[in-house]
Formats: sequence, C-alpha cells, structure tokens
Amino acid sequence: MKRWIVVPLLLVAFLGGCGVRPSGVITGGPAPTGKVDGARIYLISDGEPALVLRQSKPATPDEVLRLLAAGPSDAERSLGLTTEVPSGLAPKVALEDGATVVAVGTDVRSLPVLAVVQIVCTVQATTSSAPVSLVSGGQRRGPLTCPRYPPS
Amino acid sequence: MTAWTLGLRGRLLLAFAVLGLTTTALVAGVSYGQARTVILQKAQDAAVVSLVDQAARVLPLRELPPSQDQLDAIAQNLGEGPDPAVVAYRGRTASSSDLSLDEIPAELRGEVTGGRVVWQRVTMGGGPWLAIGTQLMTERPDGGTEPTGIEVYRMHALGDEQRSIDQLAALAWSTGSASLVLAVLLALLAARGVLRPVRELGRAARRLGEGDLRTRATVRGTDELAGVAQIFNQTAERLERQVGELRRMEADARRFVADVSHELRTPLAAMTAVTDVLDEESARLPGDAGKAARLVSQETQNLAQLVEDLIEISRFDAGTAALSLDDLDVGAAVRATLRSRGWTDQVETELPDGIVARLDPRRLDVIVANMVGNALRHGAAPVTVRLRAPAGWVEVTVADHGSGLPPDVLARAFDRFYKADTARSRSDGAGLGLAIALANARLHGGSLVAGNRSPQGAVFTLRLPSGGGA
Repeated sequence: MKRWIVVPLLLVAFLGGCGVRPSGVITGGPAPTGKVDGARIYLISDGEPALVLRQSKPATPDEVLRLLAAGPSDAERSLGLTTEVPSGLAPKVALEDGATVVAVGTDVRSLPVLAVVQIVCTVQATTSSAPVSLVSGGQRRGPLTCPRYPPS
Repeated sequence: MTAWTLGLRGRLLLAFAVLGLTTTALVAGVSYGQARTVILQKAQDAAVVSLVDQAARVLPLRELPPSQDQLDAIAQNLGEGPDPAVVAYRGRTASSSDLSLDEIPAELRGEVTGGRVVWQRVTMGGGPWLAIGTQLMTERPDGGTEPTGIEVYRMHALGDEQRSIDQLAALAWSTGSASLVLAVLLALLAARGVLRPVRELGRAARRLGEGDLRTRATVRGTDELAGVAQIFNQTAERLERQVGELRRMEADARRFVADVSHELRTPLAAMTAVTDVLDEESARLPGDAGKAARLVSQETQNLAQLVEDLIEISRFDAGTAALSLDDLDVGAAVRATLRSRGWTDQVETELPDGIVARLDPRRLDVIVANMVGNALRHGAAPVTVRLRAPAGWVEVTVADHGSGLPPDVLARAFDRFYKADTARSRSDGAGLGLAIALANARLHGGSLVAGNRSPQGAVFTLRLPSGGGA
C-alpha cells in the first residue's frame, strides 16, 4: 500500500517545484539577414577572413582589390583587423571561360594562404561565385573558391 | 501490511484517497506542465520574433566595422521597448540601458556565432528572464549568407508568465485538495453503504451466538452480502428447528419421569405401610424369613426415597420449585439437621450462634444432610462442619479426611445418577443427592462447590446469600 502513496506524492512534489526555471541554450531559426551597401573586402581577424564594408560608389573589381591591397584603416586596425595581402599587389581582374582570373604583380607561389583567401573572397563577393585563379607571369594558383560561412 | 489492521472503512478510505490523489495529480500535473510549456513557448516565440524583426530592420549596413555611434544607434533601436538590448562587435559594446554584456550568459554568447537565433532562460535579479541573442548576417552575391560580426542581445522579462504559471500551480493544488476531499467523502459514503449490512450481519450473528435463535438478518437486494444474509438466515432457521426439537424431546422425557414418579408414589406409600408392619414383626420371624422381611423393608424405603428425589428433580426441571423463605439461625438449623439424622456424635462442628439468614429451612436441611451424608459415607473421619458468615453470605463447609476426590469425579460430582465408586452398594443411594443439593443452592442464588484440601480429604462448600437470594 505504501508504494501507492509514494507515486502521487512524488508527482505532486515534482510538479509543484516547477515554475519558470533556467534552461539551457535553445537554438531557433536562422539569424536575421539583410543586404549591405558598399564595397566588400575581407581582412583577417583571429586568423579568419572577416567581412569589411567600405562606403563607396559601386566599384569595379579592380578598384575593390586595390582597396584590399591598401590594407586596413586605423580604426579597423584598432579593432584587430589585419591583412596578409602585400600592398604592391597591382591586381587586374579578367574573365576567362566562365572563370575569374586575377593577374597580380607579385609571385603567386609566395603569397600566404590567408592572402589568397582574402583575394578570392573579395573577388567572389564583388563579381560572381565563379572560381578564381591567381596568375603572375607564367605561374597560376587556383581555381579557388572562398570558404563558405557557416561551414556546411 | 498495516492496511489490514485499518478495518474495512479505513481501507476503503485509503484506497479512495490514493485513487483520487493519483488521478488528480496525474491530470493536474500533466495539464499544468502542458499549459506551462505553451505559455512559455508563446512568450519566448513572440520575444524572439520581435527581436529578429527589429534586427532585420537595422540592415542594410553601410559601414563595417561600424562606428561606435552606429553601434549605439543599433542598441537604442533594439532597446526601444521595455526590454534592454546590448550590441557587441569585436570587443566593442553598446547598450540601450545599464545592461552590460557580462550579464548575458557566456554559454549563449558562445552559441551566437552559429548563425542562428538562440535563447536561454536565466534568473537575473531574482526574476526569470529570457536572454535572446543573434548575429546580423548579410547575403552574399552568390546567395549564401555570412556573418557581419555584429552580435545583438536582448533580455525579456518573464515575470508575467511566471505569475500565470504560479496561478496555474495554485489552481492545480486547490483542485487536488478539493478532489481529495471529494474522494474521502465518496469513500465514506461507499463505506457506509457496504459496511451497514456487514455491521447488521455481525450484530445478528452475535445475537445468535448469545442464544437468541429467532434472530434473522435483513436481506437487502441481490448482491453478495444479501446472499450471505440469506445463508445466515437459513442456518439460523435450521438451528432453531433442531434446538426446538431437542428441547421438546428433553421436556417429554422429563415429563415422563415426573409422571412415572407420581404414579409410583401411591403404591409405594401403601407398600411402606406394609413393610413398616413387617419390620416390627421381623424380629419374631424365624431365620431367613426375618432377614427377608428386613431386606424388603429396607429396599422399599430406598425406593420411596428415590421416588421422592425424582419428584424433587422434576420440580426443578419444570421450574415449579419455589422458595419459602424464613429468617432462621443457620447454626441452630444445621445442628437440628445433624440431630435429626443422628449424626451429632460423628461430626466435629464449629457452628457459632447468631448467624441469621433468610433461607428456606427445608431446602437448607436437604443440602446440609446431603453434604454431611456424603462425607460420612465416602470420606473418612473426622468430618467437620464449619459455618462462617462473610459479608452478605453464609458459608457452610463440610470437610472429611479421606483420600479426596480424583479429578474426573470432581468434574462430575454433581451429575445425576453419577456414582464415583461403581462397586458401591445400591443401598448407598441413587446418586441424585448432590444434584438436588446443587439445584437447591442455585434456587437460593448461591453455589455448591466440591474440592480437595491439603493435606488430604474432600471439601464441599455451600454459599448462600444471607438476604434471601433470588
């Protein structure tokens, strides 16, 4: 008989102790998404490419790449944004057979990986999602694609 | 195991209470839980949707990284309502009120970078709050999305929901208590309905056990208890019939004995008269003839005594024996009895004068004569007769110094026609003496008890109420 009393008592005690209690993290729908104006370039933050918007008129890919090669502003630098792209890049974007080819003035072999990522992402954000190849002289790197976010 | 000591009513009450409590707890508990979930979910969803809508309106961004002014503007925009908001971008924060980023749970901040809206219920300032966080995303030209690095957080108070849920809990508690009370009331009702026939049956059985054979139980309806009552009634009826039959047969037998005794009385009286004459003449009769005449005379006397005893017993059996009480000095009465039987010299007496009681002198004489006669016949000298007067009683004790009474004799000493010694000669009496003595004692409302005393000898104790008895 005693067992039968325990069941409802436990139930009542269990439910009676509940109000609004702290919970764990609950994941909902996708984060709000919107368009951005201005030129999109990618600088480096904590070893990862980070989106930076520069206020400007609609710009050509060459102009955007030049903005990238110019490096972060003082304000950006103070927030920890850096770049790996050498300032003497002298880029020139051209389209070849549905792929984007960026001719640069420096040796593509010696470019750091992050710099390549920065260039590829910036070009893709400005032109199209077509793969990007880097060429300098007879040397070629790519075709490459900007790593997706969130990684899927 | 303790339940079985509770009785039927207790067990019924317990069962109903447990049933009611379980059902209520389940129903109330489940609906409470459901309602709580719905209330919380609704509130949370509304708060989340509101934040997402407002955050989407912040876009499109013109500049990234944003200036502090821009962050402040976003924070103010999101914190317009009652809920404080805080905005963070790579270590820089802006808040719509005094809410700081540190108050947002680190766990939540860690999950924000996953690109989805996340929320968490926390306790802040003693009350429940909902912390919602998300990152602003932008569309890429290729259709994908990427984070801008701007994280927005907003706290939403759940005080109203807490109050609603508390009300629900209070309602559940009161419902549970009410249903418990109801269950107990129902159990009491049910117990009464079931227990009343059981109690009646029990009462009837007790009355039957006490000898009231006409007792019948009330048969109500056609349920199991009614069946039991019916069986009870049939049993009682059969018992009554059989006992009645036995009683009738016994009464017939007693009447027969009484009738026979009465019929024998008259011829015996005549015979006694004749044998008295024979007795007187026997001395003059020669040899065997004289012996035969004395034998006939003796046996006739015994027969006459037996018939008198039987008639006396029949009166007791028929209930016609009546006391004729008189105030008498008990010591003197006992002495008279001994004297009239010629036993004065054979008996040691201790009979103080002045003990007066209201008794039937003839019956007292019969009892004392039986007791002393028995002691003289079966016991060994010296036989002592002692009279005492405890408060409200007179007590006559007759003791001998023989071998005492064996246990089986002790148990049956007062039975009719019981003779302890089967080899005993017939002239010693028919074995009705003590039965008559006991009946006489009882008629007075007293008692006659046989026993043994130490070191040896039997003792018969007569106790009669001194006030006249029943």
